[in-house]
Amino acid sequence: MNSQWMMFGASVQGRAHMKNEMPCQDYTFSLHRGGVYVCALADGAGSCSHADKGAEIAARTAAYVVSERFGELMEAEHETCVRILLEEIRSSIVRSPDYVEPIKNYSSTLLFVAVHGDRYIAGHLGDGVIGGERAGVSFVLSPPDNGEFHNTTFFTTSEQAEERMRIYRGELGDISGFFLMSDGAAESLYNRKSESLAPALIKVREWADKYAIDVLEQALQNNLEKVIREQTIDDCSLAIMALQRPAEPPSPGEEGGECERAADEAAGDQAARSDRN
Amino acid sequence: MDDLLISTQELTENPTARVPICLVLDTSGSMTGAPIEELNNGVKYFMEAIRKDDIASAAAEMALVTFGSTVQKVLDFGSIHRQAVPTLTAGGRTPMGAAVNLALDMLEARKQLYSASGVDYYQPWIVLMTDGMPTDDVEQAAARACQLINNRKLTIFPIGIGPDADMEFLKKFSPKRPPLRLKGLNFVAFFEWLSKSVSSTSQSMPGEKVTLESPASWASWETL
Repeated sequence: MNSQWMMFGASVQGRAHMKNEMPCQDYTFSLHRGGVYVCALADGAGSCSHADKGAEIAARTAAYVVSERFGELMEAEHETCVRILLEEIRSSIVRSPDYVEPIKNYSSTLLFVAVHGDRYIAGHLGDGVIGGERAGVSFVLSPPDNGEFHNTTFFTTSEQAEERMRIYRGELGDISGFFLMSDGAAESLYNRKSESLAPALIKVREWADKYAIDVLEQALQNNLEKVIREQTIDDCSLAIMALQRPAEPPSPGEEGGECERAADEAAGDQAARSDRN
Repeated sequence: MDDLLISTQELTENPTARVPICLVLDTSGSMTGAPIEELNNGVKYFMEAIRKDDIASAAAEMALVTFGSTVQKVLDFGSIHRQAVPTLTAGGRTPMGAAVNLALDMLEARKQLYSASGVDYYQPWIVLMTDGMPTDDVEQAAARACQLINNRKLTIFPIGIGPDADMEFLKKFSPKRPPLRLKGLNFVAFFEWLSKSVSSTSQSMPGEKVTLESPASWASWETL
């Protein structure tokens, strides 16, 4: 039986950026390719001129690299994993159309989770939070890394990026959900003192068992705009991965299963565009 | 779609990230008269301005140390809404070194309390104001301050009051930010600038460069 993961995400422009007429600098992206499910999220650095573009490049590049090299990254040394990911992201930035140096113009944080079979790999650079869900109970997989001060963190272009990037690898066991959020969303979804996640995330996870993907994406967007954004002045983004009930094998005489799976993979890239005004 | 709405009760609450600021103010004998009066007006203005700003008042935590006949902790860190506006009096000498050491100790203790309580904070500030030169040994305090500043753990705003303020001594405490001389007794203008700076900082986000307003409104032109 094949396990399938549903992935959905959304980003909204924060009230500070609305006031200053700056674009949303958060970006979420999900990908299903070669049996690998990947969700990625990046938050551009406030003052950097091309931070929104940098966040998009970081999230997309990480997702593609992890989907293509999942096995290699699962077995490689930690430092090698980090080096591969950061080099690919930095290379994608400098090769991007209309690139404007220096590369620091494109700074962003990065969070991702990838699942293949019964294994997962997650990566986290900077603030924001990666969480998980087991049997209806949430847990924190990766807390924020702000350094000492609230308004500092680490980015894809930081000198300390190689040293600060965290990689988590293992077997899923009974994990059936993942949550990725930027620091704006984490302000009301992650408790810094107890290092725990808000009950709202389990509620959203439960929706994934009942509703279709288009309904979930709209609901997530709606909640970010009406509820989460009101708790902070920062941009907010949230991405969810939810394990679906394993697909039943076709009964003898049924056709079309393989074609449906191929079509699903071909159409599997889902980019949750940032809300850009 | 209304069924798929998170309630605010299902969210979590985090304390506001704090901006700890310690004012280290010269209240030596030479500040008697108009200088101490204007300094009191400035401190009062600062506290009232911060109280009126919703975001800054939740973030800013002010402490006040004076140095004159003694080094005195006039206000310890705490919510600005619960602090009484002090009335400072002038007298005595200028033990600046001891005052800065006390301020650094207070900041360190406050940061430890924040960390233990899961409260985020911004880089602390010290505002150091004097109208003369120190009458105690400042080397240890200056060395501590410089190390913190060079490691990006602290910002000091060194301000000279009047023509007799020794700017060379003030420079010892601030390797990156040159000392400025107050224009006349323009304390209120300085504290107005300070309150706006606190407001900007308390709203800053990771990766955002906080640009402070020009100090031209309160700083003497020859030190700008």
